[in-house]
Amino acid sequence: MAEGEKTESVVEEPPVDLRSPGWAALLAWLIPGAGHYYQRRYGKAAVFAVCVLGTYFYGLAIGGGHVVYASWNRTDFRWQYVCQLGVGVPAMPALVQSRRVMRDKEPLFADVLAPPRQPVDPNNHDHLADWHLELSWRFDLGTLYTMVAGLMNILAVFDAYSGPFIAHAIRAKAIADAAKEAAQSAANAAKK
Amino acid sequence: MAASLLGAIFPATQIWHLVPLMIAVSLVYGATRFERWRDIAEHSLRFAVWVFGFLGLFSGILLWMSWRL
Repeated sequence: MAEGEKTESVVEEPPVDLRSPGWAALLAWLIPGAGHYYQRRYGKAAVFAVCVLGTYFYGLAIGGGHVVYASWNRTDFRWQYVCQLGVGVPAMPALVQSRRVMRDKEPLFADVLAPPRQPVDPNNHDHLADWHLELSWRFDLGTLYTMVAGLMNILAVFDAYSGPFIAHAIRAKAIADAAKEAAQSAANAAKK
Repeated sequence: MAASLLGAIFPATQIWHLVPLMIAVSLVYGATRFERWRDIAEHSLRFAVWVFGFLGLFSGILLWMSWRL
């Protein structure tokens, strides 16, 4: 019976107008919620914007603005930034900040989204160590929050591109069922 | 007694930061799987309960181990 109820729900799943899926996906990545707003899925746009941006800025605030930064050198390979970049535009100033620091220029916005001063030396006291001392567990928690925000937005990008996962699975199942039925009737007709 | 037990279970403030994170993850995950609000809400609630239950269970086991062993 539970299975029957599920099927009922499947049939009632509303059709989704994805408009231009590629463009919507790009917008959804650049500004969380913007892709869904473009598709006129206003409720979802609000949910994604609030949840993703809220999580991202909450993490950034916990981490004193230092947990999102781009650094690709041997002693400080910030792989977490790849996940954080999933948030789109809000994480992009880190690229500008990184470029400035690498060229020995002062970072903008009072060090927010800027990498630690170079060189970063894991065996000695450096700028990154100062941040860890100052922020303690907040540095790791802020990093986690901002990473999760980026990864959540990747899910939202997929939703903007191809619609909700369940609806997608239902369509695939309906196509498979129709093909199976057609094959069955063809086999029956051949027997007769 | 209850306060000290709560203090033992939640010794630091960082664990409370988990609550908004789990709410956000549940909502986003639910919203990417369904289109109707009722389905999204139901799925999000189920997901949140499952995650909190799972974390609670393991926290309980770890607490029991640190207490008894």
